[in-house]
Amino acid sequence: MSPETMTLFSPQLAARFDALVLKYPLRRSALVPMLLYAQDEVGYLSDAVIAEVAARIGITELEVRNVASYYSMLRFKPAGKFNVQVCTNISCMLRGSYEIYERFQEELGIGHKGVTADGVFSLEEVECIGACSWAPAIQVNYDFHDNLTPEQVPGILASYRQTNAKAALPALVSHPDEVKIVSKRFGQGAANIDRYVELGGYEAAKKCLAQGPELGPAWIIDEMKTSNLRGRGGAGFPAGMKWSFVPKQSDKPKYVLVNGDESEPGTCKDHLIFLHDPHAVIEGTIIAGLAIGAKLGFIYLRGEYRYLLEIMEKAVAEAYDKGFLGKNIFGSGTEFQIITQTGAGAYEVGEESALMESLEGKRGVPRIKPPFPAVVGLYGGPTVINNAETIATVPHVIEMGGAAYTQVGTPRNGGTRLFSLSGHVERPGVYELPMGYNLKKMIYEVAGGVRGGRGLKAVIPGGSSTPVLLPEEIDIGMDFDQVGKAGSMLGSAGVVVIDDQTCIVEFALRTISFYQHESCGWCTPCREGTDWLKKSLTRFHAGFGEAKDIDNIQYLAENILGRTFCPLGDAAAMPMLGFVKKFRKEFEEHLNGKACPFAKHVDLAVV
Amino acid sequence: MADVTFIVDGKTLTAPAGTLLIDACRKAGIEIPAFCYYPGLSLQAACRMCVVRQEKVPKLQTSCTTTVAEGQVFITESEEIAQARKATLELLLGNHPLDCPVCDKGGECELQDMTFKYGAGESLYEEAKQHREEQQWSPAVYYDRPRCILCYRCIRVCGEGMDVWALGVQNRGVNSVIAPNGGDHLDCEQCGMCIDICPVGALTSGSYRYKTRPWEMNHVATVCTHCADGCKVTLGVRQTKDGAEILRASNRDKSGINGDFLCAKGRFGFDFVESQERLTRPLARNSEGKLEPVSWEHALRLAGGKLKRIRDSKARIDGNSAAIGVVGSNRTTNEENYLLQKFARTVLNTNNIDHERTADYAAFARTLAGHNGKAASLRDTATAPAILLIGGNPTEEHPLLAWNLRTNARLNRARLYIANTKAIKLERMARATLRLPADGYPALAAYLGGSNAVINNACFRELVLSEESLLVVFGSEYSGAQVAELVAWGLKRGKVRFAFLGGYANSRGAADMGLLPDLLPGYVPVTAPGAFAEYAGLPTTPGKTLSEIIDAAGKGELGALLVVGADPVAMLGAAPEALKKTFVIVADLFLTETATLADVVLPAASLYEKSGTVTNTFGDVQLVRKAADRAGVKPEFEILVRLADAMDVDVKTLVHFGHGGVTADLGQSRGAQAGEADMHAVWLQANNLEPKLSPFDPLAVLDEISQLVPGYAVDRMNLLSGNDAQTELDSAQGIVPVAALAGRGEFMPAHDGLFTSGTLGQHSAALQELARHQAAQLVKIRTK
Repeated sequence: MSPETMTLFSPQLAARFDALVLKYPLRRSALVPMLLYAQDEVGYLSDAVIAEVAARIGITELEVRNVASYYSMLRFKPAGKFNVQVCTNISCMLRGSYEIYERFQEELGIGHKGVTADGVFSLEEVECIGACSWAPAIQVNYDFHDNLTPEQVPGILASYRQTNAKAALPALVSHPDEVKIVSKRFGQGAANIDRYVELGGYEAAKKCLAQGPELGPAWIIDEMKTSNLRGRGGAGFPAGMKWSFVPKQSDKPKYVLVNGDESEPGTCKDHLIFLHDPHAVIEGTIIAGLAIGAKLGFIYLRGEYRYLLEIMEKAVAEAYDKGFLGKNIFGSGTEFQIITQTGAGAYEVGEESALMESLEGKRGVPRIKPPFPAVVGLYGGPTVINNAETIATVPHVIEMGGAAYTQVGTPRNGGTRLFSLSGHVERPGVYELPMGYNLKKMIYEVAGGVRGGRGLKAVIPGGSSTPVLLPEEIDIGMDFDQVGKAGSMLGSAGVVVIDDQTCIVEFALRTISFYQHESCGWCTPCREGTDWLKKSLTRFHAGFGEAKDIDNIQYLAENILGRTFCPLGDAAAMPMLGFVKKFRKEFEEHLNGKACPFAKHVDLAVV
Repeated sequence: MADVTFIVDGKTLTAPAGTLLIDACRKAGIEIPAFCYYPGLSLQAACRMCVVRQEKVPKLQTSCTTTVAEGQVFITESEEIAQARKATLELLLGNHPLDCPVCDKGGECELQDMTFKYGAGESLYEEAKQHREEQQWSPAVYYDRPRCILCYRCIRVCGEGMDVWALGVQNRGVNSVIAPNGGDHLDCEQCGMCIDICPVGALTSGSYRYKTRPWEMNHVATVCTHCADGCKVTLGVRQTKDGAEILRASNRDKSGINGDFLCAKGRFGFDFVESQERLTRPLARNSEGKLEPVSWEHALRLAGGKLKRIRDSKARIDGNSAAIGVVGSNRTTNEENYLLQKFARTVLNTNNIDHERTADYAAFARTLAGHNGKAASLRDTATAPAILLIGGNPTEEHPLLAWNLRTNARLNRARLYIANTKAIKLERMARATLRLPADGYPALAAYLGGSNAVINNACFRELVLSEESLLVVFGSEYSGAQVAELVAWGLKRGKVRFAFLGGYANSRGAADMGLLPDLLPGYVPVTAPGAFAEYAGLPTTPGKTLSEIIDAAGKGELGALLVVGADPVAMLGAAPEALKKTFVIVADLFLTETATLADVVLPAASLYEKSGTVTNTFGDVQLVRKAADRAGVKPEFEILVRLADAMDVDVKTLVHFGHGGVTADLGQSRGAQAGEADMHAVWLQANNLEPKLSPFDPLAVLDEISQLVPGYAVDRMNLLSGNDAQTELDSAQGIVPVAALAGRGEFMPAHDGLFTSGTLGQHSAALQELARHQAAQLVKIRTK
C-alpha cells in the first residue's frame, strides 16, 4: 500500500506498516504484529482496521479474522484507555490475586471484560503474565505492577487517571548457593552494548567465527553436545543434538528461532534475561546461526512482554550499528540478520511448531510432525528453535567450553539453570542453581521456607504442566532425569510452593481452567477434554460433585494423555492425574455439598 | 516409489513407500474410521479417531499421518484402540446436542455410526453444554455450531477443493467456530460441497432441511440436467399422492465421473420439477383462440392428424416436405433425440430439423474423424499432465471441469495454461496465462504454430510447446473452419487430445443424434446416408436451419412446426406474428413463449422423470434413470411414439421392440442361430440387450443407436452398471470435409452461470434465490 492511498492509521504507524511487510521472507509474517500495533493505536480491531490490514498483507478479511480471533490480546470491541489485566493463575492466586481482582472490581464497578462508563478503565482476568516470582502481579496496558496488595489498588488507579503511573521493574534476588553463569551479567546494565562488551560479551561469537566457515559448524555443535545443555523451555531436549539434525545442504534457507513466548505458569526467568541481558540472546542466536548455516534469526517475544521487546529491539539496533549483525558480522564476511517479533497472547504458541505458525502469520496451531523443524521449519526451511534461556546460555558454554559447563550440574544434565521460585515461600525470586540442586534445600534454604511459618502441602516442580509432588517427595535433585524418576518433570523449572492452607481442588481447578483457555482447539481430546474437566471441577469444587466425578476426572485425564496432537493435552492431563491420585481425600472432602474448608472463591470466572 | 512390505493385524500388506497407512489399509479392506481425514484434502490429524498401535512406538499413532515403511508392524483393532476411539467419541458427544431426533443427518450420520460401533452410548457428561445459536449463512447453507465436531472438512473442501476459501475457523479452544467470509453469511459459489462433506448435521441444506428422514426416500442414480459436464447425481425421492417428488440431490456416494462433486445447479436446481408452473395437462387452442386443457387422446389426435394432412398436402422438393419444421432440445435424451430425427425424416419426411446449437459439434466431430483417441473424456481432465484451456470460464459454465482442473493441478501438479480474452478465476491455478486481444481466438492456432502477427507472446507459447503431451480444452468461441484449424495444429504436433465445450446436459447428444438439417446421427451427411439409407422416405437434400425455419413460418411457408423442449421464439427474438400461419405443436415442461403461440401444447417430462442416456460435452455417455414422477406428464419419447401412432404409422418401424430385436445385424456378430427367437433372447440377455417389450422403452432405441450411429457402439455393460462409456468419433463413414458445410446455422452458446440454466433455471426458485443472494454480495463489494 503506498503512502498516498487512504489509511486510517497515523502517518508514523502507516509508514511503520509499509516497512513491516517488506521485512520478512513472506509478507504474511507481518500480520500478528500489525494487528497488535494497530490495536495499540486504534484501541481495538474495528472492521476498518481489519479491512486495511487485509489489504496491506494481501489476504482476505476472513483470513485476518481467523488469525486475530485466536490471540487473547487482540480484541474486536473497544476496551478502556487503560486495560487492567489481573493475573489469577497459580503463582498469583497463591499470593492473593483474587482479592486484588475483587478490589479492582469494587473500585471500578465492572467485571471481567467490562469497561467503565467514562471509558477510562477496563478490567480482565488474565492468564500467567510471567511475573510469578513477584506475585501478585498485574498489567495495565503493557506496564507491569508487581507484589501488590489490595490496599494499593486505589493508588494504582489514581496514578493512571493522573497519568503519572510508573511501571515496576522486577526485583533481583540472590543466594550464596547460586552459580551465576547465564545470570552473571544481571543487574549490571548489560542491556547496553558497550557495557555488555565491557563485561566480555560477543567474545564467544568471535571465537566461533574464528573457527572458520569450514570447521566452525562442527566445532560449535561439538561444544554444545559436550556441554549437555538441555532445552530450558520445558522439553529438555539436548541442544547440540537438535542442532546436528539440520541438514548440511538445503535448497531452502535455514533459520534460527528463539522462543521467548514464556507462558508456562510459574515461570518468569526469560523475563529477566530479556530485561538484563538481551545481548546474550543475540549472541547466542548468532552462534546458533553459525552452527547450522543460517543467515537469519528470529527472536519472538510473547505479546505481553512489550517493554522487554523494546529493550530487545534497542539491543538489536545497537548490534547492527556496531556491525555485529548485518551482511558482514564482526568483519568476517559472514551474514547474519535478526528480526524481532511480537506475539499477541497464546500459550500454545510456545510449542515450537505453533510458534512457527504464529511467526508465519497464522493461528498458533501446531504442525504435523514429522517432518521436524530441523528439517522442515520456517517457510519450509530447516529451522532450529530454542528457548531464550537456552540460547542465552550458549555464549557462556562457548566461552567456558562445553566440558567445563557440563562439570557444573549432574551427568547428562549439564550446567545451571534459572529456577523461578514462587507461591508460598518467604523469598520468591529467580535463582540460578546447578542442575541437580536439591528441591527441598531450594525451598527451605534458598527461598526461605514456607511463608508465614505454615506447613508445606505440595510443590509443583517445573511449571503447571508438571505433576504435583508431596512434601515427602521433594528430597530430589532438580534435573531432568531425577525429577522424571520421581514421577514428574523438571519442565520450565517453575517451582510453585503450596502451603497447607490451600485448597488443592481449587488449585486443580485453576490449573485446568488455564489449559481450557489456552487449548488451541485443534484436536478433539484437548479441546473437549479440558472443557469437560474444567466444568466438572467447577461444579465439584462448588459442592455439587459426586464420588463418580472423581473417577470421571481420572478417566477423562487418562484418555487425554498421549492421545493429543501436541503435548498441551499431556500438560493438562498429567497434573489432573497427579492431584486426584495424591489428594483423593481432599477431593472426597468436597462431596455431599460440604463447603470447601479453604476456598475463598467458589465461583471462578470464565476467563 | 518402491513397494514396501508391512504387517497390519497380522496380515502382510504391500504398498508403495510413503503411502498413508490409512489408505493402504482401506485398500486392503481394513476399515479405519476417521472424521477429519478425507481423501484429496490436506491432512489434519485432529479428530484422533484413526489411531492405531505401531510396534515399538510408545503412543498411539494417527494412521492418517503415518507413512508406511519396510518392516513396520501395526494393530488397528484392539481393546486399547477401541477404548481410545470410544473416549474420543465420548469427548465429542460431551458438548454435542441431543438433536438426533430432528437432525437432518440422523440415519446417515458418521458420528452416530461411530458411536454405535464403539459403544459410547452411555453419557458421563453432566455439565452444561456449550451453546451457540444456529446461523443461516445463505439460502443454501445453515450452520449449527453445537453439532459441529470441528473436523475442518468444510474449510478444506471450500478452500483447497473449490478454491473459494469462504470458510475459516475462528476463536480458540472449545470456543472455536467455523466462520463464513461474510461475518454472518457466505459470499461464495453456493456449491453446497460443505454440506455434503460434513460428517454430521452441522452444515445443513436450506432446501432439504426438516423435510424428511433419509430412510423415507428412495435414491436413484441419474445425470444432472443442467450443464454439459454431465455430473452423475443421486436423487432422493419420496412418494407423493400423484407420483414422486425429488427432495434432494447429492453425490455423496462418490459414484460416477464426478466423485463427490456437484455444483449449486446439480445440488439445488431440481425444484423446477415441482414448480407450480409445470404443465400437467395437454392444451389445445379452442374456437376462441385460447389454450384450454384437453385430454391426451384429443391432443394427440388433433396434432397427429394435422401433421399427416400437412405432410401429405404440401409439395416436396427432393422428397423434402419443406412445409414442416422440427426443433429439438438440448436436454432430451439421446434416444429421444434419435427418435425425433427418425420421426422427422421417416414419418414427416423432412430434413428441416435443428435445435438451439450451443457449439459446433459437427465441425469438431468431422475434424477428428478418422483420428482415433484424439478426443479426451472428462476423466482425462483430472489426470492429464498439461492442459491448455482456451476461452470459456469453467468455474461458472462447466464447474466439474473446473473442479477436475483444480484438483489435477493441486494433487498431481498438472500444468494449466490459460488463453482468454478476459481474466477467469482458474488463472489462479495456472502455470501461465495468455491474455488474448478481443479478436484473438481465431488467431490462436496460427500463434501456436509460430506466428506473432496478432498475438505476440513467445514466452507462453514456449511453455506450452515444452509440454510432452497436451489436452486442449476449447469451446463455443470456435466454429467451422476455426475448429478445423486449431485441431489441425494439434494433430500435426502430435500427442494432443481435444475437448470441446458446449452448453447443456445433452447438447452433445443433440448434435451426435443428428438434430441437424444436413447431418444424420453420427454426423453422416443426408446426401450420403450410408447405413441410414434404410430410413424410408429420407429426403436427400439438406433442410432448413432453425432461423430459416422460423423465417419460413414468418413468410407463411411453414405449414407445421413441432417444437420439443426448446423455445425458438424467445431464443431468436421472433415476433409473435411469425407463427400465426403455422400449426405449432410444442412439447415442454413450461408454458414458454413459443408454447403460448402454439396450437397444441403437450406436457413433457423433465430429464429427472425419464430413462435413457445422455452424452456430455466430452462424449461420455451415461444412463439417466427415472427418479421423480407426476401424473399428467409424459417423456418426449412416449409422446413421439404416440404421435406417430396418431398418424397411423406402424410404431414397430419407429421403435424396434419385441422379441425380434434389431434387424440390422443379421447374425454376423450374434452367432449362427440369430433367427431363432429363444436362443436369440439368451444372446440378448448375455449382452444386456434384453428384449424390449414396450415401444415406450427408450433402451429399445439404444440398440439401434449402437448399431447405426458412428461412435456409439459403447460399452453396454459399463453403461448399464451406471458408469460412463466413451463414444469414439472415429467413423470414416461418408465423412464430408468440413468446408462443404461451413457457414450454415447459428450457434447460441449457453453461457450459463452458476445459478442460471436456460428455461429450467428460470423456474427453479432455489437457484433464483441463490442468484439474488450472490447478486447482493456484489452490490456490497461495489458500494464498499
